[in-house]
Amino acid sequence: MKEEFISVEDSLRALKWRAPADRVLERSLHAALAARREMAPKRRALDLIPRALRLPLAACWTASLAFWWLTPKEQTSSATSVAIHKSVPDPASLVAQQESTRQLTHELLLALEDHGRRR
Amino acid sequence: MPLSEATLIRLHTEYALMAFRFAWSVTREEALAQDVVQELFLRLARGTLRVDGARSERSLIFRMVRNLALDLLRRGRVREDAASRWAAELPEWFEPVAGGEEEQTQRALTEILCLLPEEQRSVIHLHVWEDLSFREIGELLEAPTQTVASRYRYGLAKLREALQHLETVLL
Repeated sequence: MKEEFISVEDSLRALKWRAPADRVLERSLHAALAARREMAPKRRALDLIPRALRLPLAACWTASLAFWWLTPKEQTSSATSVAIHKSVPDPASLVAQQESTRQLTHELLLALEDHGRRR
Repeated sequence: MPLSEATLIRLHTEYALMAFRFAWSVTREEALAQDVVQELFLRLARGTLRVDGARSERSLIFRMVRNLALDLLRRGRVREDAASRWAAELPEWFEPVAGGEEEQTQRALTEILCLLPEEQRSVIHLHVWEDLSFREIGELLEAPTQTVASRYRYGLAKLREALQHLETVLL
């Protein structure tokens, strides 16, 4: 540095910067801390998930939602039991039903014979 | 991810005063400097400005302060060459000194510093009062070291002229 500038530099260094009032800087710290506290709860839930897992987890959730939406609804358990009872009848009731049909057929044939004789 | 409360307090303790002085130097207005410091720490708290991973935290803070200050000046449309305004209303940057020659020297230096282009004033501020080397200043102003040194020399030459003029007046 040239000597001619050194005296100017010294004159500048001799000047002491005026400190601001304490409250000026305190206010900026309080505002920053308040802003930080406002930010924190919004991000807390997301912060629990490691950054590397966020994208794969989001993809899994989206896929599971798509499957749930596109898959036909399953039958309830009561509907299923009704269907089972309808399609597999009880053998005893089948025998009773067959016997009743045979009885009615016999009675019908007798009635027809009786009717033919009368004519 | 916002800064932890402890980190925010540490940054404020270490850099708030330094940031305020530099912002005041750039803007020349105390109220604007307060706004710059407030905005700086709000952005750090919200994570929109970050210091993690910086090679020099201090230099990064200076760069942020300068950018915020210049943004504020642009928004406020404060004219850099408003010489008449600054001649009438000098910023009270420095501790007052007892009258006489010392006071006149301080006034002359303040007046010339105030009227210097912002680039020269910032270089002088960072080199004289914050002890940054020309290389460090060049990095934070994104300018070659030679350019920074030239700005410093031009600035000092104007200040020297002012002091010489004052000497002739006093003699």
